[in-house]
Amino acid sequence: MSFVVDEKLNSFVICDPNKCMACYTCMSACYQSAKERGKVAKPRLVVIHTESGSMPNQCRHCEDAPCARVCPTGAIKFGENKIELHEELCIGCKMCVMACPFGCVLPESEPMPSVNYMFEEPNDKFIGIATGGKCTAVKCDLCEGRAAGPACVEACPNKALNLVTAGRIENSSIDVKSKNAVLDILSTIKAKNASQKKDPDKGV
Amino acid sequence: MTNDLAEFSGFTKCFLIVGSNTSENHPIVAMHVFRALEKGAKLIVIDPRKTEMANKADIFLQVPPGYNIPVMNSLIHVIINENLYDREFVAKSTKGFEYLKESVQEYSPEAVSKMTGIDADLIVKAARMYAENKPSAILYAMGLTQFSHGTGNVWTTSNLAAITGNLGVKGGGVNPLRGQNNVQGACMVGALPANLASGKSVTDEAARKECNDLWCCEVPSKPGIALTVIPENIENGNIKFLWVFGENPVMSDPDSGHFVHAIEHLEFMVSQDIFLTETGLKSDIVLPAAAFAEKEGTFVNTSRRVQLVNKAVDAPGDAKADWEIIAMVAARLGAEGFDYRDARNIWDEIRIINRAQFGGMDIRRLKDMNGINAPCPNHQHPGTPVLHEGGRFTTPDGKALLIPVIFTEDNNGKGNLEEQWRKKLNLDKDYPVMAGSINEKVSDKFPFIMTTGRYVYQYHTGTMTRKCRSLETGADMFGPAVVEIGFASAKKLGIMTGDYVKVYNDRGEIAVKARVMNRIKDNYIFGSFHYWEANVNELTNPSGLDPVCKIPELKVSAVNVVKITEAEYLKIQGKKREQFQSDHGTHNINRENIMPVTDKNNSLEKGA
Repeated sequence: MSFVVDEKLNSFVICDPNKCMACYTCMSACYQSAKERGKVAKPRLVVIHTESGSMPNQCRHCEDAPCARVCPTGAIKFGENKIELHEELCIGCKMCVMACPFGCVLPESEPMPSVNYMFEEPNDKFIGIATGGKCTAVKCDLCEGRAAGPACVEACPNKALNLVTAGRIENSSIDVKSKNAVLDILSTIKAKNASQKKDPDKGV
Repeated sequence: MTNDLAEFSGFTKCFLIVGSNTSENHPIVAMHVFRALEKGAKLIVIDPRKTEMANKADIFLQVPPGYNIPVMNSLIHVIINENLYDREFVAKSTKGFEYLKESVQEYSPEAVSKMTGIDADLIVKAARMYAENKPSAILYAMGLTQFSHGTGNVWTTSNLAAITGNLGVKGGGVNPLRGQNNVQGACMVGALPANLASGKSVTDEAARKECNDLWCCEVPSKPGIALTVIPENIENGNIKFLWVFGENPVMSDPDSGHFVHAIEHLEFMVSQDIFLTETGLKSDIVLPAAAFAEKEGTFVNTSRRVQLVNKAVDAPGDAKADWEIIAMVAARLGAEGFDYRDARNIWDEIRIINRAQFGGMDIRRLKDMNGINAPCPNHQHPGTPVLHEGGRFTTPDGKALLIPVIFTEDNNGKGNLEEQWRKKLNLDKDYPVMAGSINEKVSDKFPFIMTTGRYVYQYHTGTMTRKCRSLETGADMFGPAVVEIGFASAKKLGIMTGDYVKVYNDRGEIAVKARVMNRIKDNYIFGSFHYWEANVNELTNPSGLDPVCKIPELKVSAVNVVKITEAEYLKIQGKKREQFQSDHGTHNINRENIMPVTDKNNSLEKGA
């Protein structure tokens, strides 16, 4: 008999840093997916460089999600197998940004198509002030509404990004590893017993 | 490349990557490298910057920009002194081993450690790892070549591969990773100032005669002008007309301010590109070219693989394939022999003139075999993924030359040093030898060394990628232009990530956002040239050219960094917009006298 994971457990996308080559393809795919689904056209995952390695960072869809707990309007709420984000309800209060322990909720706005930013002052996207833009909380929504699932997982050229579901946690994380751990212990005990049998003089 | 990049994942046991940020700039090559690493291959990275490849490396040698020669020589030193070299290969297929041995003696790991700050143990370990895990491949890119001793750097890599017998074997070799889809092909068909279409030198009488016979005209016997010396030649009056295609020299040339001034002296300038580039804005005429998917032809990739390209969509508006534009202009000038029907016609002519490389590659074979590696001289030939198989080289006696390359801190004394070594080793007059040094050193005025490079999400001067919204507002999260500064330097200057800084030297100034991270050593900074808003090529050094190939020292320039306010930043940005995004600087000519090239009533149009 093995441990059974609750099917209602939230899914999430995570990267294997050993495989990630920081090529940013996931960020581009994320932007494209958000744009196609009519969401704020900004990437929801950010490739982070550190001294010991690089990988993209995105929402873990926590079971007791602090972002959903603090949201005053219900824009972020507990959904089925994910933490949902309804951008149209967001008032831009940024509480979720402060509550997220992973830095995965981003306050973002996109340039307005009706504004020609060449003639706006300051006219540099670098400065971050976009005339007409409205700040909205943006986080990974596992590409809700996209038939093929998360776009980043599909786009990753090195298969570093993976969608982790309840079933997957059960099969590959718990079942296999617990079995291996038990086998490990059993084999060490067996080896120890065998060596003790070989030289009975040593004593225990 | 002497080998095919697809071999890396299957055969290579050890990689030595020098001056290449492979995972960002050649992701496909990096994928093959990663596959090999999963199978247990070793990885050594030599780079000034702790890139993603360095993070995954078994050994990372953080070399200061410009010190590749001492490190490579030190690896050779260890391999020779510990008898790790391939005696059989050295005896059979190389010459000059005694010269090489003599020249690397002063580069002991301890001495090089003192010079570069790299741990001597690491150098010894790297040398053993490279020599003992065969076949081992050397991969390099612009971080090895863009120096005033770039040729010398490349010679050190071929020395290293030759003494360990890693040439002519599957999964080994010396592999320059090319930056464009067809730069290899362009070089092979003679798009170099000193080469004929057959790939041979213009000074070669017999080769010139072949061209003369085929084209029924006289091919010049004097080498042309190298790209990097064009600005001077414009100012001297040697060049009056400049036709730029598929390039954006206003941004990509070293000391781009100088280039912009120089082109004002031109009588006429034409730019031919798929988009209106910064260079196009300053030209008298812009000829619209078709993009890769809008034309037929071949591209030769970095593995010398000739790949067929089919037309997928029609070119917009008046845009035409590059060869069509050239043929139309040639016909208008009254030149004969430019009446090609299509790209196939031209390919067949290339196969006649360069039979040794492309003779056996007719279009049908390219299609059937899904690309063939050059050289492929006849129809039975399967192509050559691995060059120099069996240790046979293209030199007259078939042996690889081992070339002494030495390094000196004294830039002015390098000519003398070459002579000294020539005498010391008793070399023939035409035996190559190179002394390398760095042209620009830090001073009190400019205490930082800036090295340049590229980021994954933008391609070169951004002609194509900056038109892409998903990159501009998506993946390119750092926005236009950042410089990377190490922790200690940033602390000294009181800079944090996100602060505005001005980077300047005598050649120009740029305003950028700082990004503080310990990927680069102290007193060095790193910048990119993708963005006109802050183009590091305004600061790079155009004067120190490599004596052989005339490549400038783009990777080392002395600069100073100061913190500035947002207002100052915006002021400099305004200046840059004036400089790059306007047609300011174009000389006034009477445009009415010039007929448009795509004149519908033109008979040549119908003919072409």
